[in-house]
Amino acid sequence: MRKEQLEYFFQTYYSLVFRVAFMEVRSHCDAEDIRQEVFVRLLNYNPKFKSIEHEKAWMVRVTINLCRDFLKSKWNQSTVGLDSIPMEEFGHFKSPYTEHNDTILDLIELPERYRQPLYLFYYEDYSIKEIAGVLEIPENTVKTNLKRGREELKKMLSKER
Amino acid sequence: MKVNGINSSQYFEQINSNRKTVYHNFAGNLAESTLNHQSKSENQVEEVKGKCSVNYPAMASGISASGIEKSSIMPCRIQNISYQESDNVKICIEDGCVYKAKVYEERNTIYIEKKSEDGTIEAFEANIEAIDKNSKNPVELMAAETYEKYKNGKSSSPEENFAAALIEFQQYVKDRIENGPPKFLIGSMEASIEEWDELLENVDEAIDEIKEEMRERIEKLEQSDEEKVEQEGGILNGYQD
Repeated sequence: MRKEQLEYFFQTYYSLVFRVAFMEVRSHCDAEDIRQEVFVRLLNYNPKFKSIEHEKAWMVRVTINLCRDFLKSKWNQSTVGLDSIPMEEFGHFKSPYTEHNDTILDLIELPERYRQPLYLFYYEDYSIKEIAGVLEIPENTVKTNLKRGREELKKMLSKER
Repeated sequence: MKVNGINSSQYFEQINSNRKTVYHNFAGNLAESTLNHQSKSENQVEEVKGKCSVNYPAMASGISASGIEKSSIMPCRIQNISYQESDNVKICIEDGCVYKAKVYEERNTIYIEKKSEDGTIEAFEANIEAIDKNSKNPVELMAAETYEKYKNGKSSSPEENFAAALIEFQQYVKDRIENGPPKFLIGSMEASIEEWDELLENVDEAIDEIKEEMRERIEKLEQSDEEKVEQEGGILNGYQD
């Protein structure tokens, strides 16, 4: 892969990859490690992309898979996790498009099958079709998970209030 | 017969040569009213039962459920703008939708796109001059918010920024003169950066002096040892002699 190509991928996707990784692993340092690993894989495999959508889907897909591997790893399972994300950690997470909203702290607490579609739809402006491609699930499942996730989130928010 | 359906209100217009029979069916508190009249000009304004005024050109463009007035929000062609292209993005997870808005100042309009969870996308255009900030319509509120944000972002010219920077610097200098440099907590003491550097320099100097002193002592000891060895050597020689 040429230097210019790598620079293009890095500038376009490094922020997106970090945000997606952070949503899964909830730690700034671990998200940075995963981001590094995503770009190492990009260098190693040098995939041929058919379109920008394919490119985006590949980056997010690899990030999610690496996050899953990390969470299943022996190291992660043998360490004690925190109950909630410290606010200093969350300070590293900033969506470039929207103002900071505490709803995202509750979104992180949702199960993976709801959290991922909700985050990609609302915070990364993915369409239903794109989310279905990234998560490799049918479009109707995405719609169902969005709806159920939103209901779960409503319950959480109403409990807090 | 032409039928326009907007929200839950229905509007029927029947044009019959010199006579216009207008039937209105409104949502809300307005009673059903029938107007029979002979119109002399297209822009004639009529008063109907239910205390509302009807303007024929306004009727053709659409009626809002709250009254017979020209709406500031009109549906339009979908442009599929991204978050980066938008001037304002509002995430309404609880309502299951996202609003994206873009200001077109040259056309005096704001383009608003509503992306819903079921995959549908709706697009609206808002007339900047006709926006009601107190409206309960979420699209209109979004338009008002976007325009406010756009105005605040755009109002700063380079000259204004420079003036603001100068004022800020002036305030900074004034604060420094009055309060001195900022101090940081280090262990049990508070010190500014200059004080801390001075402290470290003093410590370094003290350490250097101690090292110098130690070196001199060691040299003296070595010298005295050598002298002792020479003396002992001399005594031994004396014995031999």
